[in-house]
Amino acid sequence: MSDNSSIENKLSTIKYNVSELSHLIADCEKCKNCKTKECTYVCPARVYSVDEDTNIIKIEYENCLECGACRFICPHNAIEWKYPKSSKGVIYKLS
Amino acid sequence: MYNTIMYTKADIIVIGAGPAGIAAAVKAKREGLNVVVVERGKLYGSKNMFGGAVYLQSIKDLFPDDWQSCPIERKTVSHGFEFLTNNEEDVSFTYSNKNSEESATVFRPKFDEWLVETAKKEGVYFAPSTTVRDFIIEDNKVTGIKTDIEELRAPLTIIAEGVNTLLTEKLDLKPKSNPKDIILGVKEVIKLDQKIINERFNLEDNEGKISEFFGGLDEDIMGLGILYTFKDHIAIGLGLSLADLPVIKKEPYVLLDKFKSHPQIQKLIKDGLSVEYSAHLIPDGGYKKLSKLYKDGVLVVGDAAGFINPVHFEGTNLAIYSGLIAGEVAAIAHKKQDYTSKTLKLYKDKIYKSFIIEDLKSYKNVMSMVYGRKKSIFKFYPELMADFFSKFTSSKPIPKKKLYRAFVKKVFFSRNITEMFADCFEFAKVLIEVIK
Ligand SMILES: Cc1cc2nc3c(=O)[nH]c(=O)nc-3n(C[C@H](O)[C@H](O)[C@H](O)COP(=O)(O)OP(=O)(O)OC[C@H]3O[C@@H](n4cnc5c(N)ncnc54)[C@H](O)[C@@H]3O)c2cc1C
Ligand code: SF4
Ligand code: SF4
Repeated sequence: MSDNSSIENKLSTIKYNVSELSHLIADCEKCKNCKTKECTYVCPARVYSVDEDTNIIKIEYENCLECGACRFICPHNAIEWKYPKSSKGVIYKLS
Repeated sequence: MYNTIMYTKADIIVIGAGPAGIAAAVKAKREGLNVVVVERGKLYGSKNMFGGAVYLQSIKDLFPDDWQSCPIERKTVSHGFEFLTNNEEDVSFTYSNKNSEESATVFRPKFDEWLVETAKKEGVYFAPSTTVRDFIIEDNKVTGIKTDIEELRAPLTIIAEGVNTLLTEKLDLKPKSNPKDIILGVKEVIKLDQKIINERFNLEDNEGKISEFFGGLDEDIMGLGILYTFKDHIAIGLGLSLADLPVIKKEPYVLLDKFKSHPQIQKLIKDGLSVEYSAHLIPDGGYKKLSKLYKDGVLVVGDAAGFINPVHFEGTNLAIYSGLIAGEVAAIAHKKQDYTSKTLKLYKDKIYKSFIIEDLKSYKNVMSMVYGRKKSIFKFYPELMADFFSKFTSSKPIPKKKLYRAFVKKVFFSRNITEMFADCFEFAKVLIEVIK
């Protein structure tokens, strides 16, 4: 796992209108049994991390950039992927 | 927030206020139809990111009277192709033309906002903060959409949702893409003084440079570096094959930092302040992976259909031209009052006769070749080129002949001959396809 400062600095430059509800729901059972954990390597916002002790996937949906990469990469179709509620989520200004 | 009467009168609903959706809406409106564009972002363009350059001819073709007010940052006068190794070497080629009017950099939030405002002047109606979740389907025909708050009906829906094809998949117009057919773009916009940018890239105030970087990441991944200049910002980014990331077990932001710390990149971005990080996908399946383009009551345009030429970073222009064709066909369907596949097939026919398909067809094997030969393209040849030029420019008191012999020897010893033939064969094959 990489040093977190790299991604934290990057995320701190982005504006969000955070929703109270997560728009990403993972199927815990599927994730527990998933050996490869692809989502943790592709997510550009480090939304997915694995709890070393429990092997459970933690989802920090607040940081999501709504790119869809995790939806396409997950080999087990474990993520119920929706856009955040209208007007919530990331707000790019200079991209 | 919005006027419900407009909705009930809408002839067409367009999903997505990107270049494809807006072009479709404008064209249909000009033909006399009532059009509403729904967009999930509260601010237009706030969900969108791209490398940075739009193609001016497509903007002129979309808004012949208003294109001059497009909020461009710098007109591209210089295009660089740089080959990086793991040290300070760099071999680069630059094409410059101070009079070029081909493309210009824009920021998507400003550009999309401008597209919307210009379309509004022509009477297109927009509904921001409106996320489409599903369709209304009656007798197998799409007759409207379901948003977070309500259902809206129209005889024709144009899907311009971009690369994350949730809705296109819902209608079985395409399967969920294979990660091999997707590129993940990550980018940082860096603030730098306009004068410094001008000096560093040898530009005047309104002139811009685009660069593509091959190599330098030292990872077994298809990863292309990009750099775009804006008035007082530069964008630095990477296009990464989605399928490769879990294989090399490196996160995109780690690779971006690695790229940024390359000495050749460092000197271009130094003293700059990173002001926005962003990420977005690029459909990379090409001609073979296009979506179905129509269905009763539906047309698909832009990235949602897969219209992108990743070799040339052409996306917004294909989005606009496919949108214009969809708007035209929408008007024909309206005149005939027939929104079934029978009439909508005309959209496919016209797209297939346009340069969009012509180009995607001739490039159909390029990206899979690049993917297959990624080690060659992103590592072996950049290093080889740097080695050649280091020998070529050497002033050591060694006979040149000896240096070149050493180079030739290295070429053949560092590389399996069959691999080299495979490279040549693959390059030649796609080149012939592109020009034939
Ligand atoms: C890293 C990168 C670099 C690129 N560089 C270039 C370049 O230099 N030049 C170039 O021409 N192209 C470039 N492209 C490609 C270009 O950005 C796309 O081809 C282009 O934006 C496609 O336009 P579109 O209208 O089809 O989709 P988009 O621009 O993606 O627009 C889709 C719109 O639909 C909205 N939407 C999506 N789903 C819903 C929903 N359910 N409900 C309501 N609204 C919805 C989105 O918010 C968005 O506004 C690049 C792309 C990337 C990722
Ligand atoms: S989301 Fe998919 S890839 Fe990630 S841990 Fe769960 S099953 Fe594995
Ligand atoms: S959509 Fe993109 S940013 Fe959001 S969690 Fe998935 S991979 Fe991460």
